[in-house]
Amino acid sequence: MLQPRLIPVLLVDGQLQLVKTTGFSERHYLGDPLNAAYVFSAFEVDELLVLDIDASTQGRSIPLPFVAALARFTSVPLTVGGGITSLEQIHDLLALGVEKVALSAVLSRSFSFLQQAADRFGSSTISVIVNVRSLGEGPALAWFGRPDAAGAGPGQPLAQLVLASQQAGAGEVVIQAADRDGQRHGYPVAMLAELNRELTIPLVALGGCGSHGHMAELLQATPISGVAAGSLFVYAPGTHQVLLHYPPSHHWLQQHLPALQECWRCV
Amino acid sequence: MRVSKAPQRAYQICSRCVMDTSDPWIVFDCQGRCNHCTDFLERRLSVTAYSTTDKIPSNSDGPEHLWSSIPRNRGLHDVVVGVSGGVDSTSVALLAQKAGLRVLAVHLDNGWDTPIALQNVLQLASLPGITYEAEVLNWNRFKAVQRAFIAAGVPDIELPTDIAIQAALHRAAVRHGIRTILSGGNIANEGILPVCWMYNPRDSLYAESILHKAGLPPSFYAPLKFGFRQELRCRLKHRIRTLYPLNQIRFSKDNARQHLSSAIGWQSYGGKHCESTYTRFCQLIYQPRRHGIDYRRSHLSADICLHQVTRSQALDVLARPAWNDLDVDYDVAFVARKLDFSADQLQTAMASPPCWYIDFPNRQSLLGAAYNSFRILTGRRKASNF
Repeated sequence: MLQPRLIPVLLVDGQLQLVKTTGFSERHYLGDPLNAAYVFSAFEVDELLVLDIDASTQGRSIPLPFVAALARFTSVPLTVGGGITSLEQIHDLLALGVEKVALSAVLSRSFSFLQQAADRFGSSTISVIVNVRSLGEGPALAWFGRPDAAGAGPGQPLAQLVLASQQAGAGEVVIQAADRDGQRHGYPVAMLAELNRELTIPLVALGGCGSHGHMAELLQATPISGVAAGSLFVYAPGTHQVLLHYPPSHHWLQQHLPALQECWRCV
Repeated sequence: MRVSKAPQRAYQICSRCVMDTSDPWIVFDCQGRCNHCTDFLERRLSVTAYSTTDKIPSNSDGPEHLWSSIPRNRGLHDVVVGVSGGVDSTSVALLAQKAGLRVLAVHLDNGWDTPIALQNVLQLASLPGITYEAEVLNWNRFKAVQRAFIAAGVPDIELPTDIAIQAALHRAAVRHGIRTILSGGNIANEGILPVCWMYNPRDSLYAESILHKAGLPPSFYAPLKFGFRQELRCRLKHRIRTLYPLNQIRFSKDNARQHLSSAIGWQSYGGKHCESTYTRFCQLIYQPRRHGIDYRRSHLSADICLHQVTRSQALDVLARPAWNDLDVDYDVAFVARKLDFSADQLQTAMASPPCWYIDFPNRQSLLGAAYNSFRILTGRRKASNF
C-alpha cells in the first residue's frame, strides 16, 4: 500500500545560509540549515531533501563537512544535492550516511552519468531533479539544472526527459515546477497525474504547494510517491514568517489515507 | 591565560536560601543570610502580587486593571509579546489574548530553536487574535558573536540573545505603532539572579568590548544592540512601555504548565529555559563547568523564599549535577559543530579559567546612575539588578 512521503525541502546558498526562493531567483533568508535539519528530524519527517542551489553555478558540489553534520545530527532519510558531477563525490556523500543523492545540472551536459551512477551505486540511491515550466497551451518543457542557466537550451518535452531518466536507472524523479516555486498556488496536478501514470519509478512533486489542501488535491488525483514542499513547512500557515513545522503523520495523512485510497482506485 | 579580577573566597552558603559563593560578590549578614534573598523579600516581592493577601487573580485570569490600562491601538495590534515557546512568554501571550487584546507575537530565531519550542509557538500563533511575526538573526554573523562570548570566558553567553530579543520587540513595536510590550519576565521566578551571572545586556560598551577582543567590528553587534540610548528613544519618542503581567498574578510555573497544556496543547520541554538548545547548554553544561554556576540555585532560592520548596529539598536537587538528565556528549558535539569549534576545543574552553564582566570595559556605574535617575523621574521602584 502506498504511503506517500511528505518531504520538506531545504535550500542552502553559497554561504550555507538557509533560503527560500521565489521563481528560482528572489531569496528570503531563513536561518541556519543545520538547526532546521535538526528540527525537522525531531519532527520525524518522512524524508528531508537538502539542496545547495549555488553549487552548480560555482562549479563545486555541496560541501562534505556540511553534509557530514546533517547526517550526524539527523535521523531521518536524507537526500542531498547540488553540483554533484562525479562518482567519487557520490561515493563520499553516501559514505557519510545520506540515503540518496540528487542529480540534475550534470545531466544536461552528460546524461550518461546517470547510468554510470545507477550502475555503480544502485538506482535506490539516485534521485533525479527535473525542472519544468508549462508555457501556455504547449507541452510542458523540462530541463536538468536551472532553466535560466547559461547554455541551458530551449528545454525538452517533459515526458521524454523523465522516461529517459527512468530508463537510465534513476531511482526516483523529482518534478520541480520552476514557474511555481514559492508561489503557493498549488501543484500542477494534471501534469503530474499524467506523468505518474506513464512512469513506473517513484515520482516526487515539488513547487507550488502552499497548504495541506494542495497536497490533498494532488494525492486525490494520483497516487504519487512523494509530495515535497519548501514554503509550506518553513513558514507559519498563510504567512511569510519563518516558523518550521510539520504535520504529525498520525494527524494528517493517516486521517486522509482511506479516502485517498478510494480515489486512487478510480483513477 | 587571563586571570580574573574576581575575589577569591572561602566557600559559604546562605543560611536561608541556597545562594553561595558561586557568586563571588555575594554578601552575608551576621546571621549568614545573603543579599539575594534579603533583597528579594524586602524589596522585589513588593512589586508583585505575592506582596498582598487580597483576592488575587489566578493563572488563568488576567490582572484586569493592567489590561484596562493598555491603550487600544488604531492599528492592527494592541500589544507586542515576545514568544519563545517557553512557559513564561506563552502564558503572557495567552493572558493578553484572552483579555481581548490583539497580540503581535514576535519570535526571535537565533539559530537554536528546539522542535518543541517551535511546536508551542505554532499552537499559539494559530489562535484567533494573535498575529505571528518572526525575526531571523543572520546566523553566520550571530555565530561569530556567540563565539566571541565563549572566547571571552564570561558566563553571560546568552546576553547577545537577550538583548537581541529586546531590540526585535522594540523594532516591531515601532514598525507597527504599538505602544505596549508585554514581557514574560517575572520576579517570582527570576527575582534572584546575581549580576555577575548575567550582566546588564543594555551595557553596549561591555558587549562591544568582548567583540573587539575577538577581532569583530561593532557592526556585528549593531542588529542586536539595545542600549540605554535606544531604550530612551523608544520610551520618550515612540512612547513604548514594557509591562510585566506575570508580576500581577501569583504566577507559578507548575500551574502555568498544566494550564497551557490543557488550553493549547503546549508541551513541556523539561528544565527551565530549555526552549533553546543553547540556553540548555549554557545553564546546564557550560556555566556549571566553567564558572561553577548552577542556574537552578537562583530559581530554587526564589522558590524557597516563596515557600514552594524547603531549603533541604532544594539542596537535594542541587546535589545532582545540572547536566544529569542530558546526553552531554551529544549536546556538546552539536553546539560545537554549530559554532565551528571541534568538540575538544569547546571542552577545553569549558575547562579554562572563568572571567566575569568586571574583567571587561563596561559602564556599570554610569548606567546604574542613569537608570536610577530614570526611576526617580517616573516614580518606579527598583526591583531588578540594573
